[in-house]
Amino acid sequence: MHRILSVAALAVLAAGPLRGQTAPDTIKLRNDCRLAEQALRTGHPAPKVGWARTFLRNCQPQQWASASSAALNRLRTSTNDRELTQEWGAVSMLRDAGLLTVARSVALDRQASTGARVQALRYLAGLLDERGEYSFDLLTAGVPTSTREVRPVCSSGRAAGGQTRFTGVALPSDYRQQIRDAGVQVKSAGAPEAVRRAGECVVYVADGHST
Amino acid sequence: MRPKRKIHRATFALLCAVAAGGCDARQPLSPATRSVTRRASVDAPQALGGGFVPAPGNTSPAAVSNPPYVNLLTLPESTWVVLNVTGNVQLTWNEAPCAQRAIEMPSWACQNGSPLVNFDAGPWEGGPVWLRTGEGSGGLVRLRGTGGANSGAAIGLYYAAQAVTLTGHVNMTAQWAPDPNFGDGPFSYHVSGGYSVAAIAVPSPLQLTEGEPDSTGERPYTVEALYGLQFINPAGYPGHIPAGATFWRFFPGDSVGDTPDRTGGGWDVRECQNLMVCRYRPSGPGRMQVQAYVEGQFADVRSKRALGQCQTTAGAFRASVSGTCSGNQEAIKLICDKTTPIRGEEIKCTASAVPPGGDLIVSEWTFEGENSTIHPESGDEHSLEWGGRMVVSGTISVTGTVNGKVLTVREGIMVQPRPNWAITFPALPEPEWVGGPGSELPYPPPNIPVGTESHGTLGKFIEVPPSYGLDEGSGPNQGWVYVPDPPVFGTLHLYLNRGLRPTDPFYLLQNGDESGGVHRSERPICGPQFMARAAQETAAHETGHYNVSVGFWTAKDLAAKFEQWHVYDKEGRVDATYARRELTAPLWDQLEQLQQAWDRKSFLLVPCDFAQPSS
Repeated sequence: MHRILSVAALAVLAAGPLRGQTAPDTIKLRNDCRLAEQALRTGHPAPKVGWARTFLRNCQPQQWASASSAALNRLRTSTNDRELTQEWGAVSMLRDAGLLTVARSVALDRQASTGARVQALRYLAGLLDERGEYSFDLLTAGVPTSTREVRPVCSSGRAAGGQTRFTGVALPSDYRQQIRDAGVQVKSAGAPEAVRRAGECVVYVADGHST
Repeated sequence: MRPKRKIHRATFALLCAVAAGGCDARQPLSPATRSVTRRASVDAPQALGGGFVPAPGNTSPAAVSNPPYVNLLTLPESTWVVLNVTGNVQLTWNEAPCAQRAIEMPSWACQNGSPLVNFDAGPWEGGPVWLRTGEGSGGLVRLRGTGGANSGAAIGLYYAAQAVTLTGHVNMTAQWAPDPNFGDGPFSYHVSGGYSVAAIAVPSPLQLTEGEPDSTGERPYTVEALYGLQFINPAGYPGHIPAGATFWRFFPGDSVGDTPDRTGGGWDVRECQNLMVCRYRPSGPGRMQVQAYVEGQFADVRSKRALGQCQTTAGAFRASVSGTCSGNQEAIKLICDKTTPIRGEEIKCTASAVPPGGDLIVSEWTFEGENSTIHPESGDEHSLEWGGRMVVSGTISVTGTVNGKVLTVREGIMVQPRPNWAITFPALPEPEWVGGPGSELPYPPPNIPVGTESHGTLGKFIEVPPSYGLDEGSGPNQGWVYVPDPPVFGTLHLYLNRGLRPTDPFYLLQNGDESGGVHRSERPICGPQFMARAAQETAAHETGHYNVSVGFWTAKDLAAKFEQWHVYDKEGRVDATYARRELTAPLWDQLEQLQQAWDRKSFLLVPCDFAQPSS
């Protein structure tokens, strides 16, 4: 993983004309963030939603998380995999207590679509992986038991080095247990097979196993 | 030098008095070559483990002049140890500096000879790897090349009178661009790899087998060097004396022990000197003893117990016989088709009665090795054969009755590591340009708050864990789990953010001038100059992660870890989760440390903000 060091310690204190084009000023950024938050939260205006989804990464993480939570709740029953992947994928870098609540709620919601529940469980698995190394692309492949074939479980690989994570509202101290409990519940609650298997993976990761 | 032999008439008289079978007419001789007899501290071959001796990183004079010794293992006291050495050293020409050197100073170009020293056809302490058992310059173990010229494999024999730490380093010759006028130029080769060392404690490097007597009562006694060792006389030994320079003595008596004797006694069997097979007609009970040079070292061993009056047909035993003897001839013959199988190979051991046709009833087979005791599965315990896939070294024994006599026979089995065991790692993957929700990289790349670090927004290398199977030994090694084949790896990915492509709209959006510095805590917008550098350095950085991975997984000592890994699973609990925890996870963690070290060494400074697409 490429580490990028963002340096601003070399601020030039002397006031003077700026050379070249400068960064957007904070007022414009603030306005854009407000617009993006509103668009993603409400889904309107529709043409702005795609932009808002990615632009919010440059805003306050709480703002980003709050808008995303609303969007994810809207998709609770969606069976549109592309839409679900897009929305849940957009928050994969964001660790936030509100998103944890939404993800647990969707994962345990029997009325929610299978796709939404699996995506919610993937997000929860990602919260367990603090360095953000794993993509959990094998989330629904299940956890083999008592086999003597050593193969990747839950994720086919990991990112070398760490990954950037943004933090909104800090996660509760027992978040790992909350996530494990959700995994235990869905893997034994008569849920669809994909959801159950995803639950197995969440428990597997919560129990400290490596891939 | 060969020991002098002295005649002790008093000893002879004493032996004659106690020998049940009476005395030979010849003079008894006492070689008395050592005051302390070497005693084996193990009853069967036992793997002691090993270690890896890394080669110096390059062939500069400084690197090869005196590389540090690395600790390998501790050799227990009073023990014969066989050392197997396998080398795998790769040389890579120091291309750019040497090419430059050839242009600038053609008269003092990089030397292109081999820095590698070969093993010798005989035991030698000056080969490519030096194994030391003491401080200072002494205590070097002599190694003999075993795989032909330049094979990199060798064997050595060492007797540890006291517990010692075995250390090693690689001995190479410098290859570089010398310059007597202005100092040394670049080295000629990058060097990687090294030498793996595996140590096995053995009861004796020799085996002396007592054969069946012919009609005159004369028996063949056959001496063999075991474990791939050879009869080799010490350096400087008279050339006309055959290899081994064997010296035979017969010790009469009913209760002659297993430990060779050098303090006096015994009858010199002169007609057998320097022979590998001694034909001798004992006049009564007793045991033959032979002294010989193995790998240039003095060793001795006693024949299996000669039962004298109670054994008339011993057979070509490969194992010693123990048990009671009450004046009859019974014994058990135990023959294993392989005693040094390669890990995973099957062996078959067969027990038969002596004399042939005798009534052998097997009561128990046992394998003992590495703290495991294994018996055949129910129903097979009385079989005349026992065998299976071998994983660990140990001793197979069979107990039974021959014509009502209870007897036990043992055979040592020494499992060898699998040759040519190596891990193949996938080639560097082609970069994949990705970006956007649900993909591996965020697109457009976000701005990272000032003063913080960003990981994995512009590029990402996905490494994969090793996949491998677990198998289990059978028969004598039932329950021993091992890795049957080298691990393999799935698909690697090297992702680059599509925003780094010069034709991408995001890339084109970056038209600022980041050279202006930071003003009022605001950074300038990134420009084409930075984007070009970011694209180049990100690709190089992720390739660096790949290089860390390939270097880690293809290291010789790491391959040996998988080859040697075994665990006794009596309860049937060893599964993939166990192996992942015990074998893979520690390696996976080590690799992560290396990847993080690479991140600390190679990173991209971002002096600007990315311009984000407008709403």
